[in-house]
Amino acid sequence: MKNTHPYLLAAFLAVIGVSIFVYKYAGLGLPLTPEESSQTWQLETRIAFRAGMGPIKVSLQFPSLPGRYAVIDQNFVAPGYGLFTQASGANRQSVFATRDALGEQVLYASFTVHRVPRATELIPMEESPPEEAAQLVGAKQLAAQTVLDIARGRSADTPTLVLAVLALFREAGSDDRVDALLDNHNDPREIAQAVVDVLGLADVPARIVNGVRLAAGERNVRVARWIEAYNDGFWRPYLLNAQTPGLPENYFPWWRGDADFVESNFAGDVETLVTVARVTETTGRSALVPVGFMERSLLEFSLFTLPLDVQQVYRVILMVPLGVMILVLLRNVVGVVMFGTFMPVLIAVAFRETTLLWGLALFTLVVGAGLLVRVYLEYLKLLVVPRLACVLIVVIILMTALSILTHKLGVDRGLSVALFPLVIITMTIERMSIVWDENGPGAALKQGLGSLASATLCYFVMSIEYLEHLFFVYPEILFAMLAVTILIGRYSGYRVTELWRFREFAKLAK
Amino acid sequence: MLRTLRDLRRQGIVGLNARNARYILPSNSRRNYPAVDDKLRTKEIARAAGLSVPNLYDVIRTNHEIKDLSARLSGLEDFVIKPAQGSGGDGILVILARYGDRFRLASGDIMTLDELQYHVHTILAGVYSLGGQPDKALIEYRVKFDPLFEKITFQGVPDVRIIAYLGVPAMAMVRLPTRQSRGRANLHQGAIGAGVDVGTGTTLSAVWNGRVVTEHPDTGSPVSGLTLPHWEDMLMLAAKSQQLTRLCYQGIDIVLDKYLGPLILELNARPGLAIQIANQAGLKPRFDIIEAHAGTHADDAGRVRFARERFNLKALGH
Repeated sequence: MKNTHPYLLAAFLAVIGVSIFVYKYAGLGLPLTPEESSQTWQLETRIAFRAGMGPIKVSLQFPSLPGRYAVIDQNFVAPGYGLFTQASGANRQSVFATRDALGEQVLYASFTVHRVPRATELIPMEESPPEEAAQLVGAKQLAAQTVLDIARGRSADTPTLVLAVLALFREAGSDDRVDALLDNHNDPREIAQAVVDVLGLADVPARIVNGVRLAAGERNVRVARWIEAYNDGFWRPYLLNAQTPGLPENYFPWWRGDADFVESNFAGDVETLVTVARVTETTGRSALVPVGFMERSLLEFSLFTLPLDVQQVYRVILMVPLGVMILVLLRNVVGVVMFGTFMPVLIAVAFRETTLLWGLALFTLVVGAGLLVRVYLEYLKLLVVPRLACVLIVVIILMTALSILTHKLGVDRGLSVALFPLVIITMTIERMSIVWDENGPGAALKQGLGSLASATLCYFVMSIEYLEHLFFVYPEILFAMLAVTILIGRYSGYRVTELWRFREFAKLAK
Repeated sequence: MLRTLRDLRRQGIVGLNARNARYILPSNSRRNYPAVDDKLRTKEIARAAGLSVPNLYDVIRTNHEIKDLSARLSGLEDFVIKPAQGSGGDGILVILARYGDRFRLASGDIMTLDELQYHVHTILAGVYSLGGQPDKALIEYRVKFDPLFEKITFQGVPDVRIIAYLGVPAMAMVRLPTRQSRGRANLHQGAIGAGVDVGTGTTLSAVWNGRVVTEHPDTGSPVSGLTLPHWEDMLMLAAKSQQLTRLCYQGIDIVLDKYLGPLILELNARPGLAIQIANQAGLKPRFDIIEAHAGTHADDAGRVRFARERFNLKALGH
């Protein structure tokens, strides 16, 4: 107890953490709160493929007519590749080319876009676009003509005609006239193309727009589709489920037409991953004040220099120490009993993907079913390691079955059950059944509930956006957290639950 | 809640954090743990030092040896099979009698040789050991407990737990199995704990499931006011075992055999804190007294004398 070493170490760590924090905040002017008002976004595309022999050419769509947005910066990481731009129809493409690449290739293309105040989503075009030859023939043309006739009857001018056609296509899957135009009535790209074809029949120039929805911290963003129709000197956008013309502010148009996002001159697979992040003003005031060597290295040695998709991973990882510290508090100061040392934190991380209620339900379901199987295995008298392996296999079977079942029922949240850490669930089932046998169901349920309650608490704290931002911009807080955890490690006072355990003594004192 | 906190502190109740941070971590060196965590080693060093332990008949270390279990058990009418590294009384089988390939357990159940062999398999696989490491199975003498306990125990074996700090017995309790604890002597599994006056060896109040009781719930006999025979010998066992293990803070579990007197059943490097509830007293004041007089005792007998003088009801001012 008289040992001062831990206290000195804790004080030292706290001073380091807090002083870097204060310097970055007061000296460099980094923001404390996530800037909701920031209108600058970073769109990063990661392109990965396996290069064989021969020259390689990979082209990526370039945001050439981004509507309300302006591309203010672009950045390509493609060592060993030549880079040029080519026009292709209404679009421009960035082309990466090389003659000698072999093996795994990873290219990054990053665009920083800024919302231009007072800009509209309408794209002006003085002369009307050239008429294109009709795309449809035979039965499809007849079907398109039928759809067009119905829509015409329900509309007065070009915008209402477009909306009427879109309304008809919303019946896809239950309306034969529309379905005749589609091979797969769930694919937005095909629906957009069919709408464009029908409008072409009516001599209304229209085109598909491919873009993304801007939302903070999205990894693996899916491309959204909508259409633009030409009328009175403007291309006017319509969402596929639109009741009125126009485009919500957070839709970013990337390229037009039915071209692919990434095209290549070879046969192999090309993996693409689009990540969207709101740009924090990391440079802070340093753009205005002269930046010294020390300041520059602090800024350069920051998480913002990492690729965006890696940044998103670190946003989660940096919250783990916070969850762990909460567990330490719950265990050693409150005295909650739970399974596994850090199991609740890992479950809480999984909850971030599954959402809380689904997470709780799926976890309880898998562990509950696993326990039943474990009880049965007890009768078979298996040796320990094979028995654990059996439980693990059963857990995987359960998770697979749950995913398929919920997907068939149309509840896609069920798929996220796959995000639970398998081994942790297996060990939880094993520990729980042993506690059940040895100390009765009461103790097992108490520990199980303790674990779930702790995981829920960790989840709530770990998903506070403000804290996520704070830890990401100021990772040196981890030093201070280490200091606090060391101090808790020397706590020798009572746990809250012990006040209850030893309650008889309080009565005795009177 | 703050009042409770103040009351607990005034009575010197030691909580889990304080036990770990103040007593276990500074004074119990990790390398001394194997001597108490492995009952086979405890038995060997205790016997080498001349302390009484239940007689060891056989040790089964490999699955291969389980095949001749029947031959190894020949000549034994009654015995106990237990995991060497078990905790909380799990995995212990008490066999009262043998009829060929059938064994009668203390619970009244009959077990076949096959089932017994499977049980030994699970022990060796480490199901009952701390952390699940592979384990050994011990076959040892079945304790015939003292007739004093006959009316206040339900199946199982009652034992005496003494907590010694720096070699001085500080607090003691008797643990009595009940129907609820299924023959086991752990308080959190439902056994009764009766505090014992260190000075006289007389049982004080008792607790069961956190409540104060005066009678055994299954037999109805009173549990307070009984005087334990061989009390001085038990305290001597507790005082001596500190030199065996070099653990400054430890729990000593002693059984009282009808024929052999007190025997050390096992030693514990992290004894629980329920003993304070059984005694209705905190450990800290006693530890403070022991710390204040550390190094003033000539030998084990001196430490026992010190404990009997200082930790009896009168000296403690009850």
